[in-house]
Amino acid sequence: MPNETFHVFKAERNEAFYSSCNLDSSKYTEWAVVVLFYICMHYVDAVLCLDTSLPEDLRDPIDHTNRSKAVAQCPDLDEIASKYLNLYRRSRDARYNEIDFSKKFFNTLYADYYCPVRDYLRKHLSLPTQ
Amino acid sequence: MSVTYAEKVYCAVNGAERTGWGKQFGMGATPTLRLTRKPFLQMSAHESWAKYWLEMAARRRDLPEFESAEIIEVDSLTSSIESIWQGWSPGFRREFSSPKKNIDKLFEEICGRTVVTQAKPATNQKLYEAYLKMVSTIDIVRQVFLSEAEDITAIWTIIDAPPFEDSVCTPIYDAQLKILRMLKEDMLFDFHVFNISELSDDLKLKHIIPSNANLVWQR
Repeated sequence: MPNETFHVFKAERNEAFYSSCNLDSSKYTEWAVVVLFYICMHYVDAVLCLDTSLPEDLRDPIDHTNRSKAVAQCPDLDEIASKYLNLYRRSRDARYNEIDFSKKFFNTLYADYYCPVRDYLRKHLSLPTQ
Repeated sequence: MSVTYAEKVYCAVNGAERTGWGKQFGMGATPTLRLTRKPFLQMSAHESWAKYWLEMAARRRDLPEFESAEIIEVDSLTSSIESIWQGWSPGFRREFSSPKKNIDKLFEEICGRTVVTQAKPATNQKLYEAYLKMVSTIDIVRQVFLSEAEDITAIWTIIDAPPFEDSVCTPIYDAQLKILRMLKEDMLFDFHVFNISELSDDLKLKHIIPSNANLVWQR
Protein backbone atom coordinates (compact mmCIF):
# COMPACT_ATOMS: atom_id res chain seq x y z
CA MET A 1 0.00 0.00 0.00
CA PRO A 2 1.51 3.32 -1.08
CA ASN A 3 2.33 5.52 1.88
CA GLU A 4 2.45 9.20 2.65
CA THR A 5 6.02 9.55 1.40
CA PHE A 6 5.16 8.04 -1.96
CA HIS A 7 2.15 10.28 -2.49
CA VAL A 8 3.99 13.43 -1.49
CA PHE A 9 6.78 12.43 -3.88
CA LYS A 10 4.25 11.95 -6.70
CA ALA A 11 2.53 15.24 -5.96
CA GLU A 12 5.80 17.16 -5.95
CA ARG A 13 6.93 15.39 -9.09
CA ASN A 14 3.71 16.44 -10.80
CA GLU A 15 4.33 20.00 -9.63
CA ALA A 16 7.81 19.87 -11.14
CA PHE A 17 6.35 18.58 -14.41
CA TYR A 18 3.78 21.41 -14.39
CA SER A 19 6.54 23.98 -13.96
CA SER A 20 8.90 22.37 -16.45
CA CYS A 21 6.25 22.49 -19.19
CA ASN A 22 5.15 26.03 -18.30
CA LEU A 23 1.60 24.77 -18.23
CA ASP A 24 0.32 27.91 -16.56
CA SER A 25 1.00 29.77 -19.81
CA SER A 26 0.24 26.92 -22.17
CA LYS A 27 -2.55 27.10 -24.70
CA TYR A 28 -3.41 23.55 -23.68
CA THR A 29 -5.33 24.70 -20.65
CA GLU A 30 -7.18 21.41 -20.42
CA TRP A 31 -3.94 19.56 -19.67
CA ALA A 32 -2.94 22.20 -17.18
CA VAL A 33 -6.26 21.55 -15.41
CA VAL A 34 -5.61 17.81 -15.45
CA VAL A 35 -2.14 18.17 -13.94
CA LEU A 36 -3.37 20.53 -11.24
CA PHE A 37 -5.98 17.96 -10.25
CA TYR A 38 -3.48 15.12 -10.07
CA ILE A 39 -1.15 17.21 -7.94
CA CYS A 40 -3.97 17.68 -5.44
CA MET A 41 -5.10 14.08 -5.77
CA HIS A 42 -1.79 12.76 -4.53
CA TYR A 43 -1.70 15.17 -1.61
CA VAL A 44 -5.23 13.98 -0.77
CA ASP A 45 -4.05 10.37 -0.95
CA ALA A 46 -1.21 11.23 1.42
CA VAL A 47 -3.71 12.53 3.97
CA LEU A 48 -6.06 9.59 3.48
CA CYS A 49 -3.42 6.99 4.16
CA LEU A 50 -2.73 8.64 7.50
CA ASP A 51 -6.36 8.51 8.67
CA THR A 52 -6.61 5.34 10.71
CA SER A 53 -10.32 5.92 11.36
CA LEU A 54 -11.11 5.15 7.72
CA PRO A 55 -11.64 1.60 6.44
CA GLU A 56 -8.72 0.18 4.51
CA ASP A 57 -10.29 0.63 1.08
CA LEU A 58 -10.77 4.33 1.69
CA ARG A 59 -7.27 4.87 3.06
CA ASP A 60 -5.94 3.60 -0.26
CA PRO A 61 -8.73 4.24 -2.81
CA ILE A 62 -8.45 2.30 -6.05
CA ASP A 63 -10.33 4.80 -8.19
CA HIS A 64 -11.82 8.28 -8.17
CA THR A 65 -15.27 7.13 -7.07
CA ASN A 66 -13.84 5.53 -3.95
CA ARG A 67 -11.59 8.52 -3.46
CA SER A 68 -14.50 10.97 -3.52
CA LYS A 69 -16.20 8.85 -0.86
CA ALA A 70 -12.99 8.84 1.17
CA VAL A 71 -12.61 12.61 0.88
CA ALA A 72 -16.15 13.04 2.19
CA GLN A 73 -15.57 10.70 5.12
CA CYS A 74 -12.16 11.98 6.18
CA PRO A 75 -12.65 14.76 8.74
CA ASP A 76 -9.23 16.26 7.98
CA LEU A 77 -10.38 17.00 4.45
CA ASP A 78 -13.69 18.68 5.31
CA GLU A 79 -12.31 22.12 4.73
CA ILE A 80 -11.29 21.51 1.11
CA ALA A 81 -13.67 18.70 0.12
CA SER A 82 -15.97 20.92 -1.93
CA LYS A 83 -13.09 22.56 -3.82
CA TYR A 84 -11.52 19.17 -4.44
CA LEU A 85 -14.77 17.91 -5.99
CA ASN A 86 -14.76 20.88 -8.34
CA LEU A 87 -11.16 20.20 -9.38
CA TYR A 88 -12.13 16.58 -10.00
CA ARG A 89 -15.17 17.65 -12.04
CA ARG A 90 -13.09 20.00 -14.19
CA SER A 91 -10.37 17.39 -14.70
CA ARG A 92 -13.06 15.04 -16.06
CA ASP A 93 -14.36 17.80 -18.31
CA ALA A 94 -10.80 18.37 -19.52
CA ARG A 95 -10.18 14.71 -20.25
CA TYR A 96 -13.48 13.55 -21.69
CA ASN A 97 -15.79 16.38 -22.63
CA GLU A 98 -15.92 18.94 -25.37
CA ILE A 99 -15.58 21.93 -23.10
CA ASP A 100 -13.09 24.72 -23.84
CA PHE A 101 -11.34 26.33 -20.89
CA SER A 102 -10.46 29.99 -21.36
CA LYS A 103 -7.33 31.47 -19.86
CA LYS A 104 -9.51 33.57 -17.59
CA PHE A 105 -11.30 30.50 -16.27
CA PHE A 106 -8.03 28.66 -15.78
CA ASN A 107 -6.56 31.53 -13.76
CA THR A 108 -9.65 31.55 -11.53
CA LEU A 109 -9.51 27.78 -11.07
CA TYR A 110 -5.82 28.03 -10.21
CA ALA A 111 -6.24 30.84 -7.69
CA ASP A 112 -9.58 29.92 -6.10
CA TYR A 113 -9.41 26.12 -6.12
CA TYR A 114 -5.98 24.67 -6.76
CA CYS A 115 -3.93 27.00 -4.52
CA PRO A 116 -6.17 26.79 -1.43
CA VAL A 117 -6.44 23.00 -1.74
CA ARG A 118 -2.74 22.46 -2.33
CA ASP A 119 -1.68 24.83 0.45
CA TYR A 120 -4.12 23.33 2.96
CA LEU A 121 -2.96 19.80 2.20
CA ARG A 122 0.73 20.64 2.38
CA LYS A 123 0.21 22.46 5.65
CA HIS A 124 -1.70 19.48 7.03
CA LEU A 125 1.18 17.24 6.01
CA SER A 126 3.63 19.60 7.73
CA LEU A 127 5.20 20.58 4.43
CA PRO A 128 6.21 24.13 3.52
CA THR A 129 3.59 25.84 1.40
CA GLN A 130 6.26 27.97 -0.32
CA MET B 1 -40.27 5.66 46.23
CA SER B 2 -43.87 5.22 47.23
CA VAL B 3 -45.68 1.95 46.69
CA THR B 4 -47.96 3.66 44.17
CA TYR B 5 -45.04 4.86 42.10
CA ALA B 6 -43.34 1.52 42.35
CA GLU B 7 -46.43 -0.21 41.08
CA LYS B 8 -46.78 2.23 38.21
CA VAL B 9 -43.16 1.77 37.16
CA TYR B 10 -43.44 -1.96 37.47
CA CYS B 11 -46.50 -2.03 35.23
CA ALA B 12 -44.89 0.27 32.69
CA VAL B 13 -41.70 -1.71 32.41
CA ASN B 14 -43.57 -4.95 32.33
CA GLY B 15 -45.49 -3.52 29.44
CA ALA B 16 -42.24 -2.66 27.74
CA GLU B 17 -41.14 -6.23 28.28
CA ARG B 18 -44.11 -7.44 26.29
CA THR B 19 -43.14 -5.41 23.25
CA GLY B 20 -40.41 -6.15 20.79
CA TRP B 21 -38.03 -4.45 23.20
CA GLY B 22 -38.58 -7.32 25.55
CA LYS B 23 -37.38 -9.68 22.87
CA GLN B 24 -34.14 -7.73 22.63
CA PHE B 25 -33.33 -6.84 26.19
CA GLY B 26 -35.96 -8.44 28.37
CA MET B 27 -36.60 -11.94 29.56
CA GLY B 28 -37.03 -13.01 25.97
CA ALA B 29 -33.48 -11.94 25.18
CA THR B 30 -30.46 -14.16 24.88
CA PRO B 31 -28.41 -14.69 28.07
CA THR B 32 -25.67 -12.38 26.77
CA LEU B 33 -28.06 -9.48 26.36
CA ARG B 34 -29.75 -10.08 29.70
CA LEU B 35 -26.36 -9.95 31.39
CA THR B 36 -26.01 -6.32 30.32
CA ARG B 37 -28.77 -5.40 32.72
CA LYS B 38 -26.76 -6.55 35.73
CA PRO B 39 -25.49 -3.10 36.82
CA PHE B 40 -29.10 -1.99 37.13
CA LEU B 41 -30.04 -4.97 39.23
CA GLN B 42 -27.85 -3.66 42.03
CA MET B 43 -30.38 -0.89 42.57
CA SER B 44 -33.98 -1.15 43.60
CA ALA B 45 -35.57 -3.30 40.91
CA HIS B 46 -38.41 -0.98 39.92
CA GLU B 47 -36.29 2.17 39.85
CA SER B 48 -33.49 0.53 37.93
CA TRP B 49 -35.87 -0.85 35.36
CA ALA B 50 -37.45 2.54 34.77
CA LYS B 51 -34.07 4.15 34.29
CA TYR B 52 -32.89 1.31 32.09
CA TRP B 53 -35.88 1.45 29.81
CA LEU B 54 -35.76 5.25 29.57
CA GLU B 55 -32.18 5.07 28.39
CA MET B 56 -32.84 2.24 25.98
CA ALA B 57 -35.87 4.01 24.55
CA ALA B 58 -33.80 7.15 24.06
CA ARG B 59 -31.38 5.15 21.98
CA ARG B 60 -33.92 3.29 19.92
CA ARG B 61 -32.78 4.94 16.69
CA ASP B 62 -29.46 3.14 17.01
CA LEU B 63 -30.97 -0.23 17.72
CA PRO B 64 -32.42 -2.83 15.37
CA GLU B 65 -35.60 -1.73 13.70
CA PHE B 66 -38.94 -2.88 14.90
CA GLU B 67 -42.22 -3.17 13.16
CA SER B 68 -44.03 0.15 13.17
CA ALA B 69 -46.74 -1.09 15.55
CA GLU B 70 -44.12 -2.01 18.13
CA ILE B 71 -42.48 1.39 17.76
CA ILE B 72 -45.78 3.11 18.52
CA GLU B 73 -46.26 0.93 21.59
CA VAL B 74 -42.72 1.67 22.77
CA ASP B 75 -43.31 5.39 22.35
CA SER B 76 -46.42 5.30 24.49
CA LEU B 77 -44.64 3.25 27.13
CA THR B 78 -41.72 5.66 27.04
CA SER B 79 -44.10 8.51 27.75
CA SER B 80 -45.56 6.57 30.69
CA ILE B 81 -42.14 5.85 32.14
CA GLU B 82 -41.01 9.44 31.63
CA SER B 83 -44.02 10.84 33.42
CA ILE B 84 -43.37 8.51 36.32
CA TRP B 85 -39.68 9.44 36.34
CA GLN B 86 -40.55 13.12 36.44
CA GLY B 87 -42.69 12.43 39.47
CA TRP B 88 -39.72 11.23 41.47
CA SER B 89 -37.88 13.61 43.74
CA PRO B 90 -34.59 15.08 42.56
CA GLY B 91 -32.92 13.03 45.25
CA PHE B 92 -34.17 9.81 43.74
CA ARG B 93 -33.23 10.91 40.26
CA ARG B 94 -29.73 11.92 41.37
CA GLU B 95 -29.19 8.44 42.72
CA PHE B 96 -29.42 7.07 39.24
CA SER B 97 -27.37 9.65 37.38
CA SER B 98 -24.19 7.65 37.85
CA PRO B 99 -25.43 4.59 35.93
CA LYS B 100 -25.70 6.91 32.94
CA LYS B 101 -21.98 6.51 32.44
CA ASN B 102 -22.50 2.82 32.00
CA ILE B 103 -25.11 3.20 29.28
CA ASP B 104 -22.58 3.58 26.51
CA LYS B 105 -20.67 0.56 27.76
CA LEU B 106 -23.88 -1.43 28.00
CA PHE B 107 -24.86 -0.38 24.52
CA GLU B 108 -21.56 -1.59 23.18
CA GLU B 109 -22.10 -4.92 24.89
CA ILE B 110 -25.62 -5.18 23.54
CA CYS B 111 -24.89 -4.34 19.97
CA GLY B 112 -21.22 -5.16 19.81
CA ARG B 113 -20.35 -1.80 18.36
CA THR B 114 -19.24 1.66 19.45
CA VAL B 115 -21.92 4.17 20.28
CA VAL B 116 -22.19 6.77 17.56
CA THR B 117 -24.80 9.41 17.15
CA GLN B 118 -25.53 9.32 13.50
CA ALA B 119 -28.26 8.37 11.13
CA LYS B 120 -28.66 4.77 10.15
CA PRO B 121 -27.10 3.78 6.82
CA ALA B 122 -29.76 4.23 4.18
CA THR B 123 -30.56 2.36 1.02
CA ASN B 124 -29.49 3.66 -2.36
CA GLN B 125 -32.97 4.85 -3.12
CA LYS B 126 -33.27 6.79 0.10
CA LEU B 127 -29.91 8.37 -0.54
CA TYR B 128 -30.59 9.61 -4.03
CA GLU B 129 -34.03 10.76 -2.94
CA ALA B 130 -32.32 12.73 -0.20
CA TYR B 131 -29.95 14.16 -2.81
CA LEU B 132 -32.88 15.12 -5.05
CA LYS B 133 -34.57 16.81 -2.15
CA MET B 134 -31.46 18.92 -1.52
CA VAL B 135 -30.58 19.91 -5.09
CA SER B 136 -34.18 20.58 -6.12
CA THR B 137 -34.01 23.65 -3.90
CA ILE B 138 -30.99 25.01 -5.81
CA ASP B 139 -32.29 27.34 -8.53
CA ILE B 140 -29.67 26.54 -11.14
CA VAL B 141 -30.41 22.81 -11.09
CA ARG B 142 -32.59 21.86 -14.05
CA GLN B 143 -32.50 18.09 -14.32
CA VAL B 144 -31.18 15.05 -12.53
CA PHE B 145 -30.45 11.74 -14.23
CA LEU B 146 -29.79 8.47 -12.50
CA SER B 147 -28.37 5.13 -13.48
CA GLU B 148 -27.95 2.18 -11.14
CA ALA B 149 -25.60 -0.70 -11.68
CA GLU B 150 -24.97 -3.57 -9.31
CA ASP B 151 -22.13 -1.90 -7.49
CA ILE B 152 -22.46 1.79 -8.27
CA THR B 153 -25.09 4.51 -8.54
CA ALA B 154 -24.33 7.34 -10.95
CA ILE B 155 -26.07 10.70 -10.80
CA TRP B 156 -25.87 13.47 -13.39
CA THR B 157 -26.89 16.92 -12.21
CA ILE B 158 -27.64 19.29 -15.08
CA ILE B 159 -27.47 22.99 -14.30
CA ASP B 160 -28.12 26.18 -16.20
CA ALA B 161 -25.81 28.85 -14.83
CA PRO B 162 -23.36 31.45 -16.12
CA PRO B 163 -20.62 29.46 -17.86
CA PHE B 164 -17.50 28.63 -15.87
CA GLU B 165 -18.75 30.26 -12.67
CA ASP B 166 -17.80 27.30 -10.50
CA SER B 167 -18.67 28.97 -7.21
CA VAL B 168 -22.38 28.57 -7.96
CA CYS B 169 -21.92 24.80 -7.74
CA THR B 170 -20.76 24.84 -4.12
CA PRO B 171 -24.23 23.97 -2.72
CA ILE B 172 -24.39 21.05 -5.15
CA TYR B 173 -21.02 19.74 -3.97
CA ASP B 174 -22.16 20.16 -0.36
CA ALA B 175 -25.20 18.01 -1.12
CA GLN B 176 -22.96 15.39 -2.75
CA LEU B 177 -20.66 15.36 0.27
CA LYS B 178 -23.60 14.82 2.62
CA ILE B 179 -24.63 11.78 0.63
CA LEU B 180 -21.09 10.45 0.32
CA ARG B 181 -20.71 10.65 4.10
CA MET B 182 -23.73 8.41 4.56
CA LEU B 183 -22.51 5.61 2.31
CA LYS B 184 -21.97 2.19 3.82
CA GLU B 185 -18.84 0.21 3.07
CA ASP B 186 -20.18 -1.48 -0.04
CA MET B 187 -21.97 1.54 -1.50
CA LEU B 188 -20.58 3.80 -4.20
CA PHE B 189 -22.07 6.94 -5.71
CA ASP B 190 -20.53 8.66 -8.73
CA PHE B 191 -21.62 12.28 -9.17
CA HIS B 192 -21.39 14.31 -12.37
CA VAL B 193 -22.27 17.96 -12.91
CA PHE B 194 -22.83 19.58 -16.31
CA ASN B 195 -23.61 23.18 -17.07
CA ILE B 196 -25.62 23.29 -20.29
CA SER B 197 -24.42 26.83 -20.96
CA GLU B 198 -20.89 25.43 -21.32
CA LEU B 199 -21.78 22.88 -23.95
CA SER B 200 -21.04 23.64 -27.57
CA ASP B 201 -23.91 23.93 -30.02
CA ASP B 202 -23.02 20.55 -31.46
CA LEU B 203 -22.85 18.80 -28.13
CA LYS B 204 -26.14 17.74 -26.69
CA LEU B 205 -26.91 16.19 -23.35
CA LYS B 206 -27.82 12.95 -25.06
CA HIS B 207 -24.18 12.68 -26.13
CA ILE B 208 -23.02 12.96 -22.52
CA ILE B 209 -25.65 11.14 -20.46
CA PRO B 210 -25.57 7.37 -20.96
CA SER B 211 -28.63 5.89 -22.63
CA ASN B 212 -29.36 3.75 -19.56
CA ALA B 213 -29.66 6.80 -17.31
CA ASN B 214 -33.19 7.86 -16.41
CA LEU B 215 -34.48 11.35 -15.85
CA VAL B 216 -35.57 11.28 -12.21
CA TRP B 217 -36.23 14.98 -11.62
CA GLN B 218 -36.81 18.06 -13.73
CA ARG B 219 -37.60 21.65 -12.84
